Formats: sequence, C-alpha cells, structure tokens
Amino acid sequence: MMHSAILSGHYLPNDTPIHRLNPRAKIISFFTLLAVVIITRSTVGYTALGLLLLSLAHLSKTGPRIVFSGIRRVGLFLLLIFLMNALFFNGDRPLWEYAFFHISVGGIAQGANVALKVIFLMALSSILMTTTTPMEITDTFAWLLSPLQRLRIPVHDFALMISIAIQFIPVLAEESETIIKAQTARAAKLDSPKLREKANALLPLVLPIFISAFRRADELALAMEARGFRGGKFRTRKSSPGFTRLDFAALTISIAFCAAAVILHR
Amino acid sequence: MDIIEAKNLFYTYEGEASQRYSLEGIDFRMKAGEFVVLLGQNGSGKSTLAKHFNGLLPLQQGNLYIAGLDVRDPANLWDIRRKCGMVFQNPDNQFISSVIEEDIAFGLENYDFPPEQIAAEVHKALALVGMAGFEKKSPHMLSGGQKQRVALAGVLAISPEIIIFDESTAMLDIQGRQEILQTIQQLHQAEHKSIIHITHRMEEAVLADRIDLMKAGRIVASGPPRRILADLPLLTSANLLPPLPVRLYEDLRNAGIHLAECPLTIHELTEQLCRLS
Repeated sequence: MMHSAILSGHYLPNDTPIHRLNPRAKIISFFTLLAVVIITRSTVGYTALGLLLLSLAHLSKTGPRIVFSGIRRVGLFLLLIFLMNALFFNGDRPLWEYAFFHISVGGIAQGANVALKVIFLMALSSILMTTTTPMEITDTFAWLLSPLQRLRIPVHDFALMISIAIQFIPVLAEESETIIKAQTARAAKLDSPKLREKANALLPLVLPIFISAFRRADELALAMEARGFRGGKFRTRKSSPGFTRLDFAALTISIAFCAAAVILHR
Repeated sequence: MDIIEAKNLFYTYEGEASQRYSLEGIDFRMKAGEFVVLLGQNGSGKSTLAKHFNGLLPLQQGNLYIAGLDVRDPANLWDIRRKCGMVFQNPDNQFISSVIEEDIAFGLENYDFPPEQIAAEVHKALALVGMAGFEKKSPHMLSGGQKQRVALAGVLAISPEIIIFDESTAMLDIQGRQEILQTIQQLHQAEHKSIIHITHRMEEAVLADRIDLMKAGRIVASGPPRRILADLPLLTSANLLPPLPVRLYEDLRNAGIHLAECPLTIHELTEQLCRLS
C-alpha cells in the first residue's frame, strides 16, 4: 500500500533509546514539550527547541527527512498563516500601510512565530508517532483518561476507536483513489478547472466512499468480536517496559525545558 | 462426540423484505479434526451458517452445540469464540493495529492472557503460519497472502480447536491463495485443527474430507469430494460450474472415450490420459 508507506507519522520499528522509552513517560514528555512550543516566542527558545528536535530525530533514527516530510504537505497552509499575520496584524514598527493592510516588523515576527509553532508541533508529533506503536498510544491515553472511568466513560474503548480510525486513514485514502479513478474512467470531470463542475463531480464520490467505510467498519467489528473483544473491562495488556533511568532522564529534560521556557518568557 | 452439532437451524435477517429464510432447517455435524468445505453459490447461506458457529449471529431457532457448549447460553459465548476462530475475506478489514505483534496480541489480551506470556504466544502463532520475524512490521506493507496469514495468526494465537475460513482466499491472487491453502492443509494435517472452509472454488473443495453443498439456505448434499464434485446434475442444480477435469471427463465419455475414474484435479486427469495412451 503506497499510502501507508509514505504517510508521515507511521510507526517505524527500531531499537533506539526513544523507541525504548516507557510509552507513558514518552507521552508525558511529549505533552510537556508541546507546552514548551506553545510558550516559546524568542529566537533563543526556538534555537534550543530546534536543537532538541534535531537531537531527538537523530537519536530515534527517524531522520530530519521523515520528521519534516509532513510539513511539506502543509506548506501552503503555513504560508497562508504567515501572510495573514504579516499583512493584517497591526504590529509595532510599521513598514507599509494601505487600507486594511498593515505590514510591520511586529506582524512579520508574529507570522513567523505562529508558522514556527506549527512546524515544531508537527515535527514533535512525527517523532512520537514514528517511535510509538498505535496500541502503546491507545493504552497511554486510556491510562491518562482513566479518572473519567469513574463517570462510567468507556475511555479504553474510546482510545481504541480513535487509534483504529487513524490507522484506517491510508486504507480509505487508497479506496478513495480507486473510486476517483473509476469515476474518471467514466468521464467524471474531477480535473476540470471550473469549480462548479469539480464540485458536481465530487458529489458522486462521497456516497461510495461512505458505503465502503461503513462496510469496512462492519467487517472489522465482526472480526474484533470473533477474536473475543468485549470492551475495555476484561482486557489485559501486552507487557510494557517499566520505568528506567532513561524514562526519568526524558521526564527531567522535558520538565527542565518547560521551566526554562516559563522563566525566559515571563 | 461431535465438535459441532447443529439441529434444525433456521435464520432470517431482520428487515429482509422477502422474509425468506437464510438458513432453513440446517442439520450439521462435524467430528474433531475433520476438514469440511461449505460449497455453494453466493447467498446460499454458507457465511450465515458459519457465523452461527462463532456466535456472531444469534440462534433464532434450532439447537447448536460447539465442543459441547450450548450456543443459546450467553455465558458460553466467549468460550465458544475461543474454541472456534474465524478468518474473514478481506485481510485489510481485520487488523486493529498497524504493528503485526500488537494485532496478534489483541485476541490474547481479550482472553486475559498474562502479559509475560503474550509475546511468546505471538511468536508461536506467527511461526505456525510461516511469518516469524515479521513481529514489528506493518501488515499494510505485506502481500495479500502474507496479510491473510497474519490475520490467521491473530486467530491461531488463542488456540482455537475449530478454524473457519470465510472465503478467505477470495480476494487473493494465485500465489496468495496457494499460501493460504498450504497453511490450511498444514493446520489440518500437522496441528489436527478442525477446519471449515467456505468457498465456491471447486479446486479448493477437492482438498476437504467432506463437502456440504448448500443451496437457498439448505444443505442439499453432503459427502466426500469424489462423490459431490463428480455429480454434474447436482452441481448444476446448485448453480455451480463443475470442476474442469470433471467436465472434460464427461465430454470424453460422450465422445466414446472412457476413463477409469472421474478425475477431480488436472493432475489426476493427466495421469489417466497418459494411461489411456
């Protein structure tokens, strides 16, 4: 399957310190670093974060190419974020103004700040997803949300549902591609430059894609039931590694980064 | 004792406009270690019957016992599903994780296997289907036959006594189909598993100990492959195309050339033709 092969954030098995981290420690460190990305707004902060991300990419053997592969896909979105801020944000040190356009050093800095945050968030998520298996993520989220079980919210089922939905994305993407090819072969004007024609041609795609998704969901539910699935209540977990020094080191580094970011940007 | 014992099963799908029975008075028995093929055209009730054996469809009418357990008793449901595993048609729709070892562990986790035992069981199940070493791979990167073998490993991990293959070869290419058929034969002969294989391919039905031929929700014939597959009127009445060697045997007979025995495979046909010359 071509799509699953190139989908950024797909788990890549390897034996690295990042892969070996306890999933709970890894995900808590991930959320702590997410907070750092949100807090950071200075050049020093971004440089430190950038160096940390590159080290993580190297340590996890993910490599900058895979870490940043997802970013290329949202390049247009990033450019739009940057331009919106650079053109409309009424920042300090104005450079040029006309009607509702305000180009300023402050606006450009704000645009770069938001775009950098998105890039760093995506890179961080990419490292997490490529070094953590879907079930490890599911179990950790279920563990983090476990207090909600007291309110009778089936957190494990919910986490499993999200995990399965995510891993079905490439399958459904491939199916959509097949349907698009089939419709194009029957003269659907999907590549028409006219927006109206394009929209009209897209409508007949929606129904077969939905039918296919429901059919797949039905078959998966049957297969899960046939393998004894009864919801979260009765399930054991595949053994996961206990907390080691490496996990404490990961937590300490991420918390230290968070504390430094808070102090730096007070 | 029979491992499956079904008596007078009736089933109709809710909301079906015609209210016709998908199963109509089915009597079915299977001995432990037997290899049975359910043969029939689409809509003949093969999958509906198989889903009863795994407890995926509720019993509406009749009696059904799996390894002595009454399907009607809800307390037996999970034990029945453990004793009777099921492999479906499309392997892509059976995976719950994009990492093979996690997918295979799913059934073991559902049945409360101790965490320290799960890794060993996963490895054992993969080795049984010839996929050892693929633990960390993604099932989506494999060929159709390999995917279906991984799906089978997910079922084998919980050590079922009966394995149902619900048209599990239908979506595979020739090589993938051969891989699955070899694995099925190995499970039957070496592991002594009871096998139910649902198909409408004659060349697959030849491998069974017994064929149950279904038509319109009924079992219309039951017997060894040599008797069922050589019966042209019977197969035609069930809207099935007899195997090629059987059709050739009939054509040769009509042309005045008599072979010693009706061949079921191309190999048998070639042997008989060589003997004739």
